[in-house]
Amino acid sequence: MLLERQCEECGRPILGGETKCSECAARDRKPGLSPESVLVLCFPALLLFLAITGFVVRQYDDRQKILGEEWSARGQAALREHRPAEAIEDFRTALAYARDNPDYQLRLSLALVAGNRPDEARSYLLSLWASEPESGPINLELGRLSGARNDVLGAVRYYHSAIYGRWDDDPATQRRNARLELYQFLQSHGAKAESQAELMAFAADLPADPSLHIEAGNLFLSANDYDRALNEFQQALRLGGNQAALAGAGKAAFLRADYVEAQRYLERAARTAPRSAEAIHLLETTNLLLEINPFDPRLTAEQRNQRVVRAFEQARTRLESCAQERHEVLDAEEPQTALQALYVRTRKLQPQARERTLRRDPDAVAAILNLALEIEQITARSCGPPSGLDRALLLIAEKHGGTQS
Amino acid sequence: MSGSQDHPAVAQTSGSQEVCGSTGDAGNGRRVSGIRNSALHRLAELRSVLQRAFRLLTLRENTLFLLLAVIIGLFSGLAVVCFRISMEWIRLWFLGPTLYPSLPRVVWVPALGGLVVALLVMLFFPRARGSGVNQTKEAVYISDGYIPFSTVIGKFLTCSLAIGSGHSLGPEDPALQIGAGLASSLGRRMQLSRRKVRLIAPVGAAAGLAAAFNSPITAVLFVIEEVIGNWSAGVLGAIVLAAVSSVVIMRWFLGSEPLFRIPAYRLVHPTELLAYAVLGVVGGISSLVFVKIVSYLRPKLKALPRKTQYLQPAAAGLIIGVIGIWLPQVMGAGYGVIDRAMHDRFTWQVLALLGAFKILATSVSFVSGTPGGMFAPTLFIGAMVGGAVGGVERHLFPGLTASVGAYALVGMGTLFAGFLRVPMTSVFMVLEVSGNYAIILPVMISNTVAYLISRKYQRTAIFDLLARQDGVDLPSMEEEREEPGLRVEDAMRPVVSPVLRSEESFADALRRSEASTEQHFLVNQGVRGWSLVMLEQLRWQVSDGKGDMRLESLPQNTRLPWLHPDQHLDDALRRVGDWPVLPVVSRADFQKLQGIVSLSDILDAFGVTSRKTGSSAAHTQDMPKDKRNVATG
Repeated sequence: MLLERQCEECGRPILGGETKCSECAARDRKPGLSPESVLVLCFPALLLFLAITGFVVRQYDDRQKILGEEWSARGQAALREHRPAEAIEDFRTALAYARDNPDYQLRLSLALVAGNRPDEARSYLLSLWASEPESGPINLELGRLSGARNDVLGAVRYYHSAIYGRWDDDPATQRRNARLELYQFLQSHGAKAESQAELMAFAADLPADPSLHIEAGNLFLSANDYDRALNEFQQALRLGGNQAALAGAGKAAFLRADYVEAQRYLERAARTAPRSAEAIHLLETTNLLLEINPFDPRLTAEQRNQRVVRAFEQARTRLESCAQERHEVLDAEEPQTALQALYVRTRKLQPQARERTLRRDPDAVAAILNLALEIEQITARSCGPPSGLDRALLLIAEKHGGTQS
Repeated sequence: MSGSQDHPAVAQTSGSQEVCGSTGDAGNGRRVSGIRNSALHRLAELRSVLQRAFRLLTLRENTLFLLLAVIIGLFSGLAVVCFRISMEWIRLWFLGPTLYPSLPRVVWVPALGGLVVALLVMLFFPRARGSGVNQTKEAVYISDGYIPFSTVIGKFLTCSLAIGSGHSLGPEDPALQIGAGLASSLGRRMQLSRRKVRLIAPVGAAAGLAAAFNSPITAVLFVIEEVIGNWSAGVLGAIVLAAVSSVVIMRWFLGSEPLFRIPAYRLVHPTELLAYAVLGVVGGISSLVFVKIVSYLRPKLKALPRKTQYLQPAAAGLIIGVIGIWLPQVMGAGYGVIDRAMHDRFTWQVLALLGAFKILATSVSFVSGTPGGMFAPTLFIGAMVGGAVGGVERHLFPGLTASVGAYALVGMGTLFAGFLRVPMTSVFMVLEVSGNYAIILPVMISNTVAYLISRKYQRTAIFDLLARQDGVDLPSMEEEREEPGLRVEDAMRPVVSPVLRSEESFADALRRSEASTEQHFLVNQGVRGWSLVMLEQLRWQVSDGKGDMRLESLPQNTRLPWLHPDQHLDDALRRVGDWPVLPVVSRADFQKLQGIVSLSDILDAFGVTSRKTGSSAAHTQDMPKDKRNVATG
């Protein structure tokens, strides 16, 4: 600011726009209120200023809040309509009006994830996490992002924090879903034992809802834990479960080779839903299996021999059809393939594969049955999975270990 | 109240006596007179009590000053809250509620805002021009702390409009001036002495800045470091009280959240400090560029015809609008952008671009004469430069553990130190804003490097430079800090004349003194200190036949003030007064004489040779009569 002139009275330098210096101006001024009076007047003036400021601030805060909500709503709409770039800008604008609003920040991070900007999303989430380390949604999102970065340990840590974290809406469901997501993440990363543990924890915490138990049963089935799967389906049935529970229980029993139990569940399932292809197909296989299973302890020796002979014949037919399918000549002088070798052995045991012979020579039963099961296993590998009775025999072979390595 | 007629008690007594009628007129007269005297006596007592009570209620100026500081803090806090909200409202109204305003608004709003601001400044509020820091200093050092209330109004309106419409300026310096203006107005109304009015403006300045920054320590330090330049206990207390009161008000209304959310920081390995030293270098260079642009463009624009000053802010607004088409983040104060930079929201390339264009936008805004502050833009540029440097360093050395946000935070302090040249404030500002003591080493290293670079290549600090461009020679706090102060040891000379003892007789003392060429002799009075005796005095005493009497028997034999070698020479000048010489004694033992100093010695040390008289005898002639007789204190 330039010194432009001098005081009219005392000649001191003064600033532009003034005619007198402060001292002369003060001297010319009429005597005002006493200091005490000014001091006393300061208090009502302060109160008035406080009231005005309070009013202005409230108006401002309200406006900020409204703007934040408006922009957040726009962002959510954009996110729903798969326009993440717009959603990101909208949420950022919302945050300009409510900088510390965790909901907006979380939504922005979701939009960033949707917009394929995981690093920015992670940065936002980490800021949020620093202020709310117990938040379920924030931990869940961080778990997902860590998972996407193949940071298994980090992901598991965040998922666990999400499972045991704070959720505002329906915490039980959110925690269950988070655990389920963790289970799937662990499964996809081959962490079988850990995923199994999560699944057991998931099942242990289920409410009395048959659909959830069916879901748990199916997960146990996919994890090859048939006992627990059957248990979950049975639990679902006790809670009023429907055809899905019956079919699941049947399948679980079937897979754990409890064919009698499987038949019982599958028959009920088929009755309940006659068009359920999987249940009907499984029931047919179960029926065949129960029909041909030579290991059924309830069988007499004669019945068992009959089944062994039938199995042998069925296996031989399967061997021939498989060789034909593969254009192999079984009757070769020097067996070179597995099928030819099997055929040689089949021909050798063929004479003994009669009920009368077996009745006289019980030791041959095992050899014939083993060969039949071995044929089913080898042909399954050479010609693909069998169907019907052959499938039943293959399942019997798998259950009893077979003879073929 | 003087007569009995005025006093109901007396009147009542007289009435009762008339009713009784048991005494004569003379007796009645005496009795009435006695009662009247008694009542008057009681009234006088009551009056005395009331006067004493009123005296108790009447505040002494020092107490009043402190109370006033609190009131100023409250008023300033409220004003700054309103100021910040008015800026936001204006931004909402003119630029719209979107984060990135539409193209027409981006281009035209700053230009039109600049035009309106220019009209207001040129026609109604000429004192509102500039940032506010130098204007406050001018008020303190030129106008005895006088800031008209119209300046407060003008600053409030024009800065709200300028910053709200997108000019690249900040609200802190204007808030500082608003606070100072409020304080000045209130101080004048309170009829404070001229000295106190001069001190009250910085008190208000601290309050305004503290509220705008939400950082009381930073505000107090800045005002001390840049505006008043000293730590006087009286004013420090008032400044602290005002700053705290204003921040309390600000936090009450706008919340206690800091301006920026600070990322977590931990120094993992000392070698990382090298990275911050590099930031200091880049920050120092950026500060230099910023200062050079401002210092080059400002006088050029000021030299243009006066009528162009109506259009300069509009032209600046247009330039900012054009920059804003691509980089809208540079518009306004930019706190939100700083916050985002500190949370890794930008790549280092974007950060570098934002830093560079913010320098340009702020320079253009400021040199055009648009009212507004430099603090927020400095922080913005610092954060961007810091973030960019951090980004590059992390790219080159992935082992660095600090986040880009930490570099942005340190960068803010670095630019503060380099551009505003307030090294202490810059360190404490980062500490206060971050609340993290672990950041202190990086901040100190980076700030020091930037400060040294800035000082090496730009001798004059920005505020001093701006003042000199305006033709005002305000005291440069930086230069004052660095000026080597003269001390007593620079002026004192060894004692060559005999030092007398108080138990010596006048005859002995005269004998020893006459061997010397000096006229004044120090007398060691033991635990009572030092006094002075003149040769002529000794001669008088001996010639009067008092040669056997001791020196301590001299009438009015009072103590002489003494000095220490490390004391400022200003102190010596104040103390020497009319004394021909003063003893310079050891701090450990005041009886141990280390030298003497006279007014001529002090003037010699100050280089005032023309006034050198060469002997203390000349002063003796000027001594008051009582001091000529004896050495008095």
